[in-house]
Amino acid sequence: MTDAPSRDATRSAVADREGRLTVIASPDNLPRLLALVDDVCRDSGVAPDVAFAAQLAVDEICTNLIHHGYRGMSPGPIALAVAALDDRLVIRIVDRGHRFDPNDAPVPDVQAPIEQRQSGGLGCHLVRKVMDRIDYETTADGENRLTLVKFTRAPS
Amino acid sequence: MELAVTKSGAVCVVAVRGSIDGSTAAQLQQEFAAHVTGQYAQLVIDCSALDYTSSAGLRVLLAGMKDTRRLGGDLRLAAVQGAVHKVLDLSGFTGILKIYPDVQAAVDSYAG
Repeated sequence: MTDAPSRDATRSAVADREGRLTVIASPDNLPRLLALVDDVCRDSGVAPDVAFAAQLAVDEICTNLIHHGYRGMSPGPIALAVAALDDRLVIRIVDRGHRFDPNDAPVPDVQAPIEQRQSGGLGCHLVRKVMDRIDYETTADGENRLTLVKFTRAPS
Repeated sequence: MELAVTKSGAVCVVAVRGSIDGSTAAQLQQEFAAHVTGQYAQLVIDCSALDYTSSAGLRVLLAGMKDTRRLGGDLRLAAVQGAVHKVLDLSGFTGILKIYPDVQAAVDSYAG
């Protein structure tokens, strides 16, 4: 992102089937991020399981960014873009915090009995389970770009 | 997210309405802390109006399970809906906690 992040959320709907939102990574802004996902999914009429996957993935990723992404720094931006294309939902999340690839997170032991059960890594595990593609890159000037893809049925 | 707490004998029923996500999980955590005591270590979470949970909710449930079991009680779920069940399944939680079709069955499960 070349623009300085604004304190307030800025939002524009590029088309019926795309939404964008940039907010500061703070807990107060999580509901706005989730509302954007909900709006795009509802407007584009994706199937309930796709909407659910999108909601869950954005919740998990953005919660991680809010609590850990800018740890040790002043909170920076989270830029979310959700686009419903003909055969897929594409979610892009961009931040300037610590690099963290969801593909690298440890796999929790989902068979472990309760005494050994840890809750770390569960969020990324869920994202990997519900999304079809997860791509992560960090640019030379420190911008982390996450792209999530969920294939959908043909639009009605 | 809204919570409603009722008591059924020695069992504490926490009805959760709405969503448990990254921003509402803390509220649920506080409710558990307020009600998990030596007297009320038998919890039932009424999920009939719970449409969604993320891993933040699972974290609270896991901590609640460990705390209540340490006190000789348990945390059991009632009337789990589709999306929530899916998340419990994907994370392997269906294997470690007890789920009942309705609140009465969950409350009764503590008897005897």
